[in-house]
Amino acid sequence: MSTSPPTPAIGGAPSAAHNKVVHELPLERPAFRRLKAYAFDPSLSQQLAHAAINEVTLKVPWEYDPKTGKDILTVGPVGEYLEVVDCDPASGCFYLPVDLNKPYLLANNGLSPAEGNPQFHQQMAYAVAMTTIMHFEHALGRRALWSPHRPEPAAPGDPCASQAGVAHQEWAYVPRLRIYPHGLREANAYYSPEKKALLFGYFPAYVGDVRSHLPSGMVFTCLSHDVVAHETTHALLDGMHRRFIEPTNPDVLAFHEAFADIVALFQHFSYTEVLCSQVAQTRGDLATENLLGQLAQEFGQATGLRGALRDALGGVNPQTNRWEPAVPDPTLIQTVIEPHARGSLLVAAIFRAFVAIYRMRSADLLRIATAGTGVLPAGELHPDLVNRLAAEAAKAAKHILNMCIRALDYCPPVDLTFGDYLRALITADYDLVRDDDLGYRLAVVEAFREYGIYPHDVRSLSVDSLLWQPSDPLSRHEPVLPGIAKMRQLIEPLALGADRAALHAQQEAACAMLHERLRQRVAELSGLGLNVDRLLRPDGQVSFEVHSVRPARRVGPDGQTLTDLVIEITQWRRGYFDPAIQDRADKADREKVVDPSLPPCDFRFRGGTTLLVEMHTGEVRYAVVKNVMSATRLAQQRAFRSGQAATSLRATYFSGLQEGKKEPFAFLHRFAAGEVSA
Amino acid sequence: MSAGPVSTGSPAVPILQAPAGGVTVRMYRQGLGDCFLLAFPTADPAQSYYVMIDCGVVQNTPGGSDRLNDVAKHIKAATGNHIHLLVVTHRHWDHMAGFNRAGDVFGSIQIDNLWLPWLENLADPAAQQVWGKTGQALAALTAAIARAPTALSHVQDLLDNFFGETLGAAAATGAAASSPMANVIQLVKDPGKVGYRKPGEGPLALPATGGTGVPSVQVFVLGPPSDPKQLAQMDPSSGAGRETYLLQQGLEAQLAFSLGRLPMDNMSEEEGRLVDFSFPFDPHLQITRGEAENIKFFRQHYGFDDGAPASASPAGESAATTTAAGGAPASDAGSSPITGASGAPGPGKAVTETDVPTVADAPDWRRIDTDWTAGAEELALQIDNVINNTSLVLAFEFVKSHKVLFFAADAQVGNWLSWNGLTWKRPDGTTVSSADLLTATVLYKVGHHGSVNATVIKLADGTTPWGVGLMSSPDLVALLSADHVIGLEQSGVWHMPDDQVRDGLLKQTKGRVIRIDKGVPQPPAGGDPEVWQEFLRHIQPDPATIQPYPPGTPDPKYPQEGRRDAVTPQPLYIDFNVIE
Repeated sequence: MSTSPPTPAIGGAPSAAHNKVVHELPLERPAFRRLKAYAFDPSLSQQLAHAAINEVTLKVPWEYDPKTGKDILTVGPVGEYLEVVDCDPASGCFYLPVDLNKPYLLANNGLSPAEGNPQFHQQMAYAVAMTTIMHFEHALGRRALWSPHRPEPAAPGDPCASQAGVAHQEWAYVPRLRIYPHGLREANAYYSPEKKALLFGYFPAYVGDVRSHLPSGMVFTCLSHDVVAHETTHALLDGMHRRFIEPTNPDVLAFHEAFADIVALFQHFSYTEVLCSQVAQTRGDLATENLLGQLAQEFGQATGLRGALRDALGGVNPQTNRWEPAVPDPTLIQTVIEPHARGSLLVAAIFRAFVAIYRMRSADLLRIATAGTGVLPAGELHPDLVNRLAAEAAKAAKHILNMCIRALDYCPPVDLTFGDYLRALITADYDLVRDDDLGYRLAVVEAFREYGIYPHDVRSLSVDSLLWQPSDPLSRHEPVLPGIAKMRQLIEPLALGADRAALHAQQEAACAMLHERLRQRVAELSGLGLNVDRLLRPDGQVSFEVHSVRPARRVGPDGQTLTDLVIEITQWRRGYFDPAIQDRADKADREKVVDPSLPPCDFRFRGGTTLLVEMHTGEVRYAVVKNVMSATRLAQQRAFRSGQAATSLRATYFSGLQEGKKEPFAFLHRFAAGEVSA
Repeated sequence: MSAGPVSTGSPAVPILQAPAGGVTVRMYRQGLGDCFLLAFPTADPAQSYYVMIDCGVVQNTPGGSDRLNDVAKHIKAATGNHIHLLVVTHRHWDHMAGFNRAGDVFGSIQIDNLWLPWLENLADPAAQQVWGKTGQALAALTAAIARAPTALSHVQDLLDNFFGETLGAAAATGAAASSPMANVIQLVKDPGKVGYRKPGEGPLALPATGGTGVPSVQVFVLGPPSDPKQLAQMDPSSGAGRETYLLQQGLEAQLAFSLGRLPMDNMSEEEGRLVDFSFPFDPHLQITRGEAENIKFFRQHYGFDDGAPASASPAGESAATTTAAGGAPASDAGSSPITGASGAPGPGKAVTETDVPTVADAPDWRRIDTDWTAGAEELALQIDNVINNTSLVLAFEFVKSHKVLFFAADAQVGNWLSWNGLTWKRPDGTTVSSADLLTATVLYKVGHHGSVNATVIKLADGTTPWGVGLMSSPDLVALLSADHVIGLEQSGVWHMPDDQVRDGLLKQTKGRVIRIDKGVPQPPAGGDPEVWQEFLRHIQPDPATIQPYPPGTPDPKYPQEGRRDAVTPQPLYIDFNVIE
């Protein structure tokens, strides 16, 4: 009897006859999950000229738990940073969540763009928001955290009421930002600091807008790449600087808007394939930098929500019928107050710097292509040249985006102005790239100057004098902050890859520790820009807060990577609209007595300092100070706040609605779409 | 609330006699609302010519109805049962409630003429358009409030206060019969005597009846604007019509849509289609709330108020929906990770231990059940603004001295700015501009109860003086129809008058601001006593008194406003005489 040869086992148990164990090679976890999205918004897919470039495949990180190695993205999508919950209360319904782990979807890079499929909406909102988060993490070299949840808002009616029982460390960790892709029935989308959520609206297109939208067809803000990136940026910025939503001067909210626009705009320029296609299509206009502005404007057009931004960058000259960049007007910054319009000035300044940088980076290419004549031959550009030019533009965009994000670590903790941001930009870049051989910093300073944006506390607009300074040169070499070694232990191991919950807990612990030590040894804080007398109030209230302690990476002069600690400490005193009452309150504070006849304060007047501390030596490299005792700043803030409060019918009828209930961004964004149809 | 012992209709109320060569302006003090009676001299020294401007009070005024009846009876007696000209400036309850609540009294008074803003002429196509859109917006708003009554209670309050019983009529559109002004118009027997005033008209003589005219006074009409864009402007800093719902094209779809207007039984096919299209996705993709409550994903990541399955939901109807939907989307998803291993639990089925969401998963503070209602709030403000801007704005000019009494009604920014450029020719051939009239104003009826956007001092350029900024007469006096405490008692907490407007007026008039809630004003600190004595000589409060409204809740936020005096009886009106 002959034995038949053993059947090879495929995927089954190894044959006993051969007594051999077949090993399957372990599968490597994918680094990315590819997901399709609109590069702009659905309206472009209906335009022949743009349809081809309107679909991008975004590479978002494959989310897994570093401790267990398990994949964590589940239906929703719900992952490490985001949870998409598709609840539509205005329509009284919900939509089923997408499961991106279904094999068909994994094989197809997710669902294909479709306006009529809510699950694609969920996918796109997730993919674009994740892309934005990754840009932040790469620029900052640490993981992104959302602003913590405060259990109870401050007592309404008295902004200075004690918040006993709501100690800093009790603020709850919020692991995931929530995304509601269809949360509103209006032409609006906003970040809710209260709910830690992005709410996207949808609305019927206006009849007047037939060119790009079906009349009374639906416009979904969650399908606009820019809107999603913009709102996500609001949330990320709030996670770093939660006092930047307090409108204490005309620049604060404008900065929030501008920064969100900057991120959305430059994220577009990082999609090289989109750039290439546009460059080829417009046949070489890239030589004159106009194309970039024109592109930026088209990007804005598609989103349909940012009228002010478009106007700020330029427009078609009716006489020549050619697009021309806007001529910077340095006087506008004095008169334009509305947050979007004012913010667009900052965007325009940054964009001007970007164009200058691109020009420097591409000068050699153009010399080669034109054999030094500077005149490009007629006809289409060589595809290689197109690719190279687009690559340079993408690189410049990436650099400037990184610069803008990194500068956030160098901002004052409260009451930011555009001038402060310029100093932060320059200092942050100086810390990362000591040699400015490509002239990035010069380009930025020049562009800001052309828009009339400059800080008021420097002697000149040279790069040197714009760098932040340590507040007291004598304290440079002293380990001025108590417990720096302890803090180092808490903070140092935390970087990319660490568990975010642990990161949050450790940062909170560092804050609490520093707070406790400062309470006991307030005197040691002199020289850091804080008012030592005001750290504790006569009635026993603590009037300072260790706002954050976080690591920031920089490159040392010898090219080695160093880590700084960014420490933000804020303090406040009672602010009154009436200067006479203010004097009484200040007097009581000075004399350390409690004056029971004082009315509740009108607002908290905040000051504080951002310290950049060399982690190993404790050297305070920079102190970015907002003096809580500044009379000028108080006068400005008083004027600004009282002007803010009283311009609308809303102030007349709804003055008593709880402040905490209000959505600062909802009101800013609402009905802006009306401008587009006009 | 009893309004106290007013001996109305009895001989105790003296006839209001106009001063020779001047006018008496009587401000009634019925609460937060307008009611003015003007007495001008005629050729017959025994007979005054009476102009009545508005009569109303916000609806949420305890005892307001009784007080309006007191006022109406008082007017009846003081005019000898005869009003020569009635002016109703706009269709807000605080300006016209009296004609509904005290309709019988006014119906028994002889009213010869009626002036209304041109927008109340419902035969005018432009007016039809404005009211059509406003009506739709109100209907949508009402539907939105019905869906979220708690979150929108302050908006409901606003509507109640400004429309009272006419809300239904205002929300309806079209036929004149349903106009909120219907009760007012029928007070005048002869429809030919109803004048719909347009901006630029004038100088008009006060319409003579039975030979009684007023030779000493002529009237100029400034508002409401004829441009609907200006009607919509509410914010001083924005351009005309920039931020308004009510002017957008495609408004019908927009409104039905944005407020989630519910399908109604009597909905037309067209309306039904709009509502259908207002849903973003096809019906088979929509999961009802009741179904969602049974889906594990939503319980874990959204959460619901009671945390219980649908059968426990208060309405009960959502559970029924789930059953009826049967095999609809929820159960299609079967054993997917979305709905839970064994499919959605049926109605009434207990939720197992592992299904119960942890607080961290689905805390209520992250839910957005009522966030969409913020749009309704905005819309309510815009409706209010548009109607305020339909206010009839009149300047009464003395023919000889050119002194002006300026009645701004509730005009808001758009109305104020629209007067710029208006000019008139007087019978004597001289020209007068709106700026001239403002400059010559000696008595200013403050716009919209002193709210922040109803007293304009500059043009939109931010520098050129306008409105009150032009009123430079050293004799300027302001009549302010605000009751601060009643405003504070509204659920949104209204702030009238605005601090800056109040302080600005006090400064400009050297303290001569006569308020409904304060009665005869107190002299300002450091003022000129002679000026004050002169001022007091022109004031005459009602010698009889009424009981005040009950005291309001004190508000620490506005201590400078004080509280209503709970004890002292108050005069029902204050007379102020302007001498030509």
